[in-house]
Amino acid sequence: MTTAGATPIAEDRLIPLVSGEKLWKNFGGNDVLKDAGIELRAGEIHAIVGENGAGKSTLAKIIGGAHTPTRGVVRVRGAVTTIPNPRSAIAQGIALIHQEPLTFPDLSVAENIFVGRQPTRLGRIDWTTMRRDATALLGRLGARIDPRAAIRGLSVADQQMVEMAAALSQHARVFLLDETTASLTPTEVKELFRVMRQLQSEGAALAFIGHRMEEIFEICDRITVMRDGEIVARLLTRETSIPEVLRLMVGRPIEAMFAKTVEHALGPAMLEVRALSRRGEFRDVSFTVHAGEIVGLAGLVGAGRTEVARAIFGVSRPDAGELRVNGAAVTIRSPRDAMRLGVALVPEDRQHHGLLMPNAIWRNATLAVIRRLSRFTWLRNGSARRQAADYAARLRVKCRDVRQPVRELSGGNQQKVVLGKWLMTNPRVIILDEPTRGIDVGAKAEVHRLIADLAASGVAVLLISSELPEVMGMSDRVLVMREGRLVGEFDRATATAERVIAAATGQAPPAATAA
Amino acid sequence: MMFLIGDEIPSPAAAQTRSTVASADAEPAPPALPLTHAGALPRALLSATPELMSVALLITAFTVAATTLPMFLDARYLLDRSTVYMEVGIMALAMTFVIAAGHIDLSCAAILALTGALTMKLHATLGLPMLPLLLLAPLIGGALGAVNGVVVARLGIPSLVVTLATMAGYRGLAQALIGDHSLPVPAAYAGFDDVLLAGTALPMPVVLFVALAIVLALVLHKTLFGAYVLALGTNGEAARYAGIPVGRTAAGVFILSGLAAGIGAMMMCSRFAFARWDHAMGLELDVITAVVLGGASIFGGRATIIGTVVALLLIGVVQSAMGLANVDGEYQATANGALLIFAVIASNLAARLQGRQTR
Amino acid sequence: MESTVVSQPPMLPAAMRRVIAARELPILIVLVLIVAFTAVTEPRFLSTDSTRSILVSIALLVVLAMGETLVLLTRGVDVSIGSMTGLAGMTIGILFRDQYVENVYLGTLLGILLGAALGAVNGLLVTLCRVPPIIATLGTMGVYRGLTFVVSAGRQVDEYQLPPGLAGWSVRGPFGQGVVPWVVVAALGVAGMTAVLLRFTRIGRRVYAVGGNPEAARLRGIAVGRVTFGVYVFSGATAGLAGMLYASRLGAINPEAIGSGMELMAIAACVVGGVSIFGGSGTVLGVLLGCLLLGTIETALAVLGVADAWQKVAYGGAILLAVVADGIAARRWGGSSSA
Repeated sequence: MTTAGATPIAEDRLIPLVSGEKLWKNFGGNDVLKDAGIELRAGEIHAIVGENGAGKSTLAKIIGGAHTPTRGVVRVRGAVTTIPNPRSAIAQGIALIHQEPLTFPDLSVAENIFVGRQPTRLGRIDWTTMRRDATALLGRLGARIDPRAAIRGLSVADQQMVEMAAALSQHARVFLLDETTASLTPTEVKELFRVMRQLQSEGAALAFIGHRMEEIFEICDRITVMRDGEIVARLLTRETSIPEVLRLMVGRPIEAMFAKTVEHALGPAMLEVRALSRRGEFRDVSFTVHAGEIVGLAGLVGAGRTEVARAIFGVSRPDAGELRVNGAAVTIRSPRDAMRLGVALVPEDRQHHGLLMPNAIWRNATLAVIRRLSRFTWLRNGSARRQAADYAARLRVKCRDVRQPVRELSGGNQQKVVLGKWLMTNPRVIILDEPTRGIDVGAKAEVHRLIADLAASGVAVLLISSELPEVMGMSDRVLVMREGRLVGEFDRATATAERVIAAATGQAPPAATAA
Repeated sequence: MMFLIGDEIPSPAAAQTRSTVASADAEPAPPALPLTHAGALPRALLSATPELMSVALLITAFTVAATTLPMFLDARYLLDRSTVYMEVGIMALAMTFVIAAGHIDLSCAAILALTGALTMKLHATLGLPMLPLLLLAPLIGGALGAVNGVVVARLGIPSLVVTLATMAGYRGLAQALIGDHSLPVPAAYAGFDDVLLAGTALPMPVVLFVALAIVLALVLHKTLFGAYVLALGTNGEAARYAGIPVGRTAAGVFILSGLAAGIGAMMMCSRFAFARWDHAMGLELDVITAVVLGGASIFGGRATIIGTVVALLLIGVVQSAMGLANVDGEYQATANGALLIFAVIASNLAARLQGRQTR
Repeated sequence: MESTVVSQPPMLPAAMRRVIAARELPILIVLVLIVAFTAVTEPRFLSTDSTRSILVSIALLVVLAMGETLVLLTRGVDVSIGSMTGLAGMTIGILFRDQYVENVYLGTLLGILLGAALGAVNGLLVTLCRVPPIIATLGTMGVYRGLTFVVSAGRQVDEYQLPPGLAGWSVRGPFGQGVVPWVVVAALGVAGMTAVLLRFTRIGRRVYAVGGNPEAARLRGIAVGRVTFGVYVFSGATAGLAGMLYASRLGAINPEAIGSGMELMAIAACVVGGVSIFGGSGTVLGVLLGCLLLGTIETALAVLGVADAWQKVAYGGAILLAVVADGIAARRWGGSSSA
């Protein structure tokens, strides 16, 4: 472990670099990890897959020192050890790379790599050496990043590279990548994979936690499948298939996930967007959503979909363009304006934009209608609680009662509270931004049912989703955005996965563009 | 590349035949959730930990003072002493809103001084009668607070910095306005603190404080504005997405704080019988201490008026007891500071114990 | 292994960008304008006495602002520095008066140590007891101010009771009785030390790291608690030294006046100098300029015959202007890249 990237020693192939045996983890009385074991071998990329809450991240965090196991043993190179904190993990050659890079925005790239261990000469930090070493490390990863640049302003992908370089500089031999591809573009994912292969060829052991099956089957040698905190299968990638892994993950058939009701007649145009532009975000976006229609908005992360939604809802102001709601031209300066017109937005970021986490369910659920529920500024909390309880029951929110803080709920139930909040406003237009992100399959199906019900009752729905099956299964029409522009529109007959992807990535001209 | 779990893409035709929606709808709706349950009361008590801490301290302080100092239980003495503290009390009630909204107002004492200086100057130079000036003072204070509010809400600058600046600015304006000497108030107007509510032993400042406390408690806990303030302090972005007028709410708490300082200005000028530029110097810290001691979270989102009132009582009891025990007024700061730190540490500990219990 | 070579981006644009984007530049410009305007209207502004008076008054502020800078960099705030200045200054003043200590340097050392101990209490409250910094230091601000009265029994220590050398620090310097008295040298020394600490030591860089992203700092193996504790100790130590500088400048130590309100001046100087109160960014050079700007405004207005009161107004205005300009700049440059 003295020289990072040395040629893999033969015995590394036999003894796993890191292994966990019979690991248990208990959070708040729940066993989130049950008797889990894993072996990470030198020169192998090992996928850990499972639904949200299956325990993948917990397992990685135990090995990475972010959590300590309730029971169980961790071995490094065969010897039993304890990893009480990330510092100890990195000292033992284990690095945990997070989805949201943990970097220091005001420090330079070089410092982010060497923070706390900057090279010194005569007690002073040797900036020249530090930059040179940083350049060398980044070069080894093949990353083209200026070591003098500030982290603020770097893309997520570049920040992840900086974290990898930091891990390398500490002679890490084991890399745990926790959902690192979630917010990367396809090009960036390719770049990351190239770096992963580079590390693999240097004899490192990599664990890759992810959701995207194609990525996993492209890069990983082994797959460990988890479900409800347990390991349900250990597979070699070349001996298995995507459907098999999915079946193991879910533990039940995965049909009936996307539920769009039978066709029904569309109403009048409820939301009309004309040539909407906002500098640096999106340009010349025009589309229409009719009453009772679900319009899907597909595209890669960063294509400008969330930004369009924010502009429609009045969170940000567009530079140019026109909005019509229910046929009338409108100006929306704030979410309040939007709500008055019957427009609702279920935001992408539940924690920061959707909920008051420490507050009770009923307070959250009635927040958007609090004015209506009051009489001459006087709150009527009893009636608010009753209405919230009513909605919570209808949406099947699993909770003790509506006084429970939303912080204590699972992701899916939190999302239902957010949905309930906006349903209470009786919207005519509802924009759903990634409504099923980070919630489990069961809750997902319920959310889909809700969306379909909404459309059936005549609400105009704009559904933003990065999950292609979801967009295609739910939508009457699919719009595709790329780099801030609307680049494709498909109806149910013409929407195929290939066409939508082609439009979203710009790899081939969209095959059909219906007006 | 973009495929997530569930790679199979249902064809539109297939989706139409899957009728999970219809079948789910056919099920009987589950019974509405119960609103209360057996554990509600203990949990409500636990969630009020910071306030309870202040109550416990208050009872302790009161008992100790009452048993060791024979004069302490003299109601007239206590009430008389309390009038000294009512300006801080009224500003603390308003500061509860500011802190609940996740902000802070360092300029409230400077607003008090400037409002006092301005009103008395108007009286002295323009000969405006006192009565309209009494009503004008809160408005002047509110306007000065509005400056803070607008800068904070419009430009998004942290309130700590904004009010630090206006604190210096307002104090300077007060001094520029009336100079370094005292500006006397008309004799008829002086001594508001000696006036008792008809038929009782209650001095008027105390009556005013109690009335304002009741009104503001209702405003914070029972009205839309109060709900907006607490939502803003809990998560400003989420509040904005829910259509809450966050800018106006933020401006509102600073206006309220200025308004209270305006009332405080009239009380202080009357009590001292003059206006001075250095009135209430440094009192903003006493005000903030009272609010935090009352269990408000300095990060916003959680605060109660009753907590602030209890904290003020606690400070008052300690101050009165120290006065009786012939301890110099200067040591008051030590007692306040120690109380504040002790209360926060104790409620931290309690919260940690509570966390261990539920986990 | 080293297959790819990173092309070195050209040096010049980065350097130029740094100069243009430097937070210090506008302060410097404003400072020069003020000095130029005042000097033209009132030439005695540049006289030795006037300059020395500015520098001596700024010296105190600089020392305190250095401590405050470190605390602000870690996302904290220390409002007790004025009270720590008072308690440390007062205590040492009494040791001098009652002749427990006669050597000025020993007294100063004791003052610094006492200040550090007082700061350590803040540090323990913030780290060990997890009291939010503003609350912890608000509390100790009161406690220390009260203790200042306890140790002094409310009585002032007069000039004749202090060692004779002390007052000379504010008059004489290494170049004799000129514009640069020892007090200023000491302040520059503290500033230089802080600058080296922040720029060239691992400890200093850890301070930035902790303030920039505490969670990442923890995960990257930085002892966040120890760094946080350290900055409060440092802040206390600078306050202890400031207590001695105060005694030197005013000749006497009054329990009520010493250090009173200094915390707000120090925070103001930091904010004007570009230290973010959200932590993680700010430089010693900026803070120095901030101190210089505030001190110069004060003296310039006095020289121009503007009443003391308006100086406070100008003070408040300078703070507001600085943060508003920062806010607009952040929206223009930072906003677009993060979107």
